[in-house]
Amino acid sequence: MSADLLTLNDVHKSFSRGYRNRVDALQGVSLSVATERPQIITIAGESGSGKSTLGMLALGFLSPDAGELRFRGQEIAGLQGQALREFRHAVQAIFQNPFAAFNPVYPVDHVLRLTLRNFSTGAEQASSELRISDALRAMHLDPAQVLGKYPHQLSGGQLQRVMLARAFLLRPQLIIADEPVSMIDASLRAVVLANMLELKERHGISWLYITHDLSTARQISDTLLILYRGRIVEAGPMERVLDAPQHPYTQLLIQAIPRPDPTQRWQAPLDWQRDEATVAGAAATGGCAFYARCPFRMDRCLEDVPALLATPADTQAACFLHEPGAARPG
Amino acid sequence: MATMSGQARDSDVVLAVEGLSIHYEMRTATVRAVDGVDFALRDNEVLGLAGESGSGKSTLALGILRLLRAPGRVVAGSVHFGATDLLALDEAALRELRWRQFAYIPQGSMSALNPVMRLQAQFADTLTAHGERMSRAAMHARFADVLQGVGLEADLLPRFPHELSGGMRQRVCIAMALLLGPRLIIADEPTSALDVISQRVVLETLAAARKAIDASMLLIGHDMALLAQVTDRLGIMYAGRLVEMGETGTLFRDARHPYSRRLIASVPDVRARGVLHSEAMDSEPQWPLDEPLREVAPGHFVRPWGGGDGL
Repeated sequence: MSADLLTLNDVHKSFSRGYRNRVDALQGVSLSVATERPQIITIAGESGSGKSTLGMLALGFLSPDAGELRFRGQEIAGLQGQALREFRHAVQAIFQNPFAAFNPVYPVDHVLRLTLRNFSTGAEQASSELRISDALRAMHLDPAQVLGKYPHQLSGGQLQRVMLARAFLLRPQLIIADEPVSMIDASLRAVVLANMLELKERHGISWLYITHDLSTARQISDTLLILYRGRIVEAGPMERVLDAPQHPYTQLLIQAIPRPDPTQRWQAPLDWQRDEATVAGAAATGGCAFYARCPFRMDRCLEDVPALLATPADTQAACFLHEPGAARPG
Repeated sequence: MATMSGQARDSDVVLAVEGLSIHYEMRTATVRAVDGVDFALRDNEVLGLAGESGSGKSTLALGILRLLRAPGRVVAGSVHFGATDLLALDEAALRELRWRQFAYIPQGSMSALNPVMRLQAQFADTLTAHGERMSRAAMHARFADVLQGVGLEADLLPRFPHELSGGMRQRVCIAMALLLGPRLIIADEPTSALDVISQRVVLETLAAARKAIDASMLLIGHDMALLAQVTDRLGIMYAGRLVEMGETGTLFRDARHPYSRRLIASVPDVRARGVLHSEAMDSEPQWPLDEPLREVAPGHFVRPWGGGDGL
């Protein structure tokens, strides 16, 4: 068994919403977070891609329908006692809405103290005030300006950094963050991203950064996985994936992202299949979910999706265009 | 000193907003959501208004459109649409102008489509509500025409909204807004609820459809990258005030106000890794906002904040 910190192996998860209405949120997703070298692994996808389901599975909040989910080689579903405690200690979570993460009737200190009380020994608790101040300072927050304040007295950016401090208090090995900056105003977003990067670089904490926003992924990621309708369609080192995308979906996605530069405006309209509505159902059974919009679609894409194939850009893409010997457009 | 309101009397100005202040008056406090805003939107121009949450940008749109609800109230200023004083119009006269002369595309407008009506019936409603009378064949031709303008086929007309994707529904709303060929479009975050690909398709559609009818557009948003793509001029709003306004290219190259600079610098670019500063401003900097805007270069207005260069 590998000694990886966290592994997902061919994980499937569906949700039923009433009679005959089933959503296949994840359809065979594999990834691993290594123990030795801290990394920021970004899982990027649009709404409905399954990225939040993936986060909930990795946190052990959901169990997979099929496939394996392991923490240090052990099935997460089977963790008990001390092993479960270690998992809950080593893997922390940050969510999208910092305003909803705090109990509004307590000052923000409450959640920090509660976390320490739940996870530390008596001896450690004696120094808890000091540890709380240290964790806040590590996020470049001034304890004097934060402690004793109620959630409504702080900005979304500050609240999210208090949440980072809460996670950091436990010195975890991995933080799973689902859209941690999407509700924060742009001018404060960069600070939270910088804090995330610092936690990796100075404190050796790895991240699963779940986002829809590839522009923020560019700023902090090492590895990038692109998720589309429950499948990883492309994976590789972040720069490779963003600079030389190999899957038609990734290519379209990156072209669609506006650049904050009026001298770099969109020139021609985006090249995509405009008969989307008429063929949307065509790939529903077993074929490639991107068929309806794909500029390079072929008949065989209706029947099957390939596994992740090696691409010339040293990434992997789940697309027949990368089969050995396939004629590759463009 | 040249003032922005001075432009209001130019003949090519479609919308002139002068000294507009909108307050939310509640029992315990008054929120000055919009505070003395001046700008002029020229014929065939796309003007962006950028701001973060709470900057007053959406309230400003509602105020211009006379769609404010209590306790929101215009307490000062004027809004002229051409020669017409919008704030002085009675409801009947306002109704004549709405949709025919100016259209509004709010955030998530696609959820305003009626889920139990076919699209063609909703289009027909829009026409009849604004007093258009025409034959069924002429109506169908008009609907097909506006749908084509947003890249959709006329065969969608008998469909229900749930049969369309979010991006398609938003394009239907744009088609509906353009049905009567308005001179002015006010769009408030028209793509914010959409996925990235749909967002680009919808924004490209809106820009092209606007151009095709030579309308002017006020585009309100928080996404500086989107605003960089499609606006001619840009105003930056902060705490209910405009702190800077100028050509979009000028602002991205040479923003002067510290808030504008910070807003522009904070937008991540998918093509390049920027410099991330972890040393945050724990207490939001407060800039004085009471000095009048100053024209630092032709068409480039900045609100002095007590920094360098006499600003």
